Amino acid sequence: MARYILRRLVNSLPVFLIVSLLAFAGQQLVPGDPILAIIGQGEFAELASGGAPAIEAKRHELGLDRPVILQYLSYLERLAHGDFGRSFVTKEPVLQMIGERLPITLKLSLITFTVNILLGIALGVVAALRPGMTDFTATTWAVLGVATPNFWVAILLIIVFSINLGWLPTSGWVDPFTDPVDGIKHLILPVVSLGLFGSATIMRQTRSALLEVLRQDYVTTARAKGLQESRVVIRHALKNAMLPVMTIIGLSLAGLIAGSVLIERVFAIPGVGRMAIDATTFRDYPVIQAIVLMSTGAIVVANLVTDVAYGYLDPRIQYQ
Amino acid sequence: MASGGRAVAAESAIDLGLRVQPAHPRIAAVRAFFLDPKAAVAGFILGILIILAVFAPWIAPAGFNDQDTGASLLQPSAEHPLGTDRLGRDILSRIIYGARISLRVGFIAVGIAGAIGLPMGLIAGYAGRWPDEILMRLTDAMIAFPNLIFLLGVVAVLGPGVTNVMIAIGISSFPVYARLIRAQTLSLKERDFVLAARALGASNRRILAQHILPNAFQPIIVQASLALGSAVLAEAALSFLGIGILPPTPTWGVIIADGFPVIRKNPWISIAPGFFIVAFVLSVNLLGDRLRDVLDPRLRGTR
Repeated sequence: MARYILRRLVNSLPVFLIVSLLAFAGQQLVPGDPILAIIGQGEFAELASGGAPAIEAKRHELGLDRPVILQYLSYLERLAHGDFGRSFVTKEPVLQMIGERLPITLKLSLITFTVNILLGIALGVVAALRPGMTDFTATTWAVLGVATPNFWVAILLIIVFSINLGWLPTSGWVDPFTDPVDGIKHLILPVVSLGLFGSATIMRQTRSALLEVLRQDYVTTARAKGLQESRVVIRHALKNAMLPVMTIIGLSLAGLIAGSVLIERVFAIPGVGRMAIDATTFRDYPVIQAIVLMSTGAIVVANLVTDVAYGYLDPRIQYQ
Repeated sequence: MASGGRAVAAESAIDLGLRVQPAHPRIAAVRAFFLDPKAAVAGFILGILIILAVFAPWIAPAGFNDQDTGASLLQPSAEHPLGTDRLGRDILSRIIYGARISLRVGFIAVGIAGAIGLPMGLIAGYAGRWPDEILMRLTDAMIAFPNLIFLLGVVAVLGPGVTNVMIAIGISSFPVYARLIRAQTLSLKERDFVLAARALGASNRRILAQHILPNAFQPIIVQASLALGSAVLAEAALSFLGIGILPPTPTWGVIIADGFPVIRKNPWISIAPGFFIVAFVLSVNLLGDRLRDVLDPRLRGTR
């Protein structure tokens, strides 16, 4: 198992390198002097008063006159130390800015993720065990979901539940771990709009995978042995049905990251997503770059976890 | 004998001892395609949207930027079926014009994605080894991270605007074409007709263009139709966030964004465009699915 994990880790490395390369290239393409990305506007202005030689000296000191490949390597080194530079706009270290907002986005995403998985799998099991109307509903729901912008759904929900019915707040963020009641009230609409259709896909996949597994011989054997139906389903069938569902769950993570940017905007939640939008509007490249790299890292890790889960669920995979 | 496609007119063709010609195969194929009710409805809806897009200046009751501050934020009425926005512009007209831009962005973005992905996939599949490894790693990296974040990155570098949005969406969607056509190329390049062409001395470029590409096209078309939907959704998201296409250009995403601050005064500004987005993406998806179902059995016997 450990060797399998190692192998998967090594496989993910090129992807991360390519993305870092692209991010570095982007930095060179952004209008404005690259020196700004490292020292910030204020210090640059000070230097400028010293005239061109002062700027050149600083450039040399920062290594910006070296060949690009060496710059890239020291860029990687800075990344490894968590130095993402300073925001063009606020001059704060980007890492600090992200640190302030990341917990909020993480909480929102993980809560949605968990709800999606639990709801999707539970409904999928129910749908598999009681065929009929549920399939049509689930399929329609999933087909519609893929075609609907989640920020628009969020707006619809706000109109109905906040403005017209007044049951829930229109926006804002309250930490559910410090104030559960108010926190949950603020969470309901964002989680629903973020996860509405992701859970539909998980439900469909669970249902079809479970149906497939329930037709297998070993399930019939288990039943013939006199095992309780619930044991048959949960102990034997479900575990094997989970494999394709894992793929879907893994894929949904990317959708969650992208979705949270939009949802945070609609509900004015002060997370990383909001920061990303502002950074793009103001061409605050160091912030964008950090978010791009971190998202990639998150996806790579998520894929890794999915692969490990595969390996656990189906031991044959480890030996491929 | 009657020319292809027309049954001989008479009391009965059989009376005259003549055979009834079957319809032209292409027409029959199209008719069969739309026999499925989902495809028929989807085609109808898409047709309407395309008509709206093409004939917008003639169909829309007003211009997309005709401002009338006296008529600001009116509720839906006979004169303004969806009301007006803060600047007094007719929302229905803006949405109709929005069809133009949103659809245009969708089509061109898909075109760009294909223009990038197809050559990549062809080369990767045909050349194998190093080119394959590098190109596929690049493709994997692209798939590795969330679409919207990548789009944010590109817009941060290039800036907002119609062209940049098309480029950004196009670049972000190339992987699927690259992978598809690579798979097709891999399976096709060992086929007899390719070997024959090579034996006859055809250059690699000729083989790729004339033999492999035409045969690999079917799944690409299916994928492209599905990609149209994602492209429009991506543009709507970017424009809604204010970093895609900028006002006053009336894309559906921009209109939803316009309506968001005034949602209590006239909620329809934000509500209506969403239905159009769903209509477009849904119909394009259904048509793509139908295309896939129709082409699939024939794929097994690729010509």
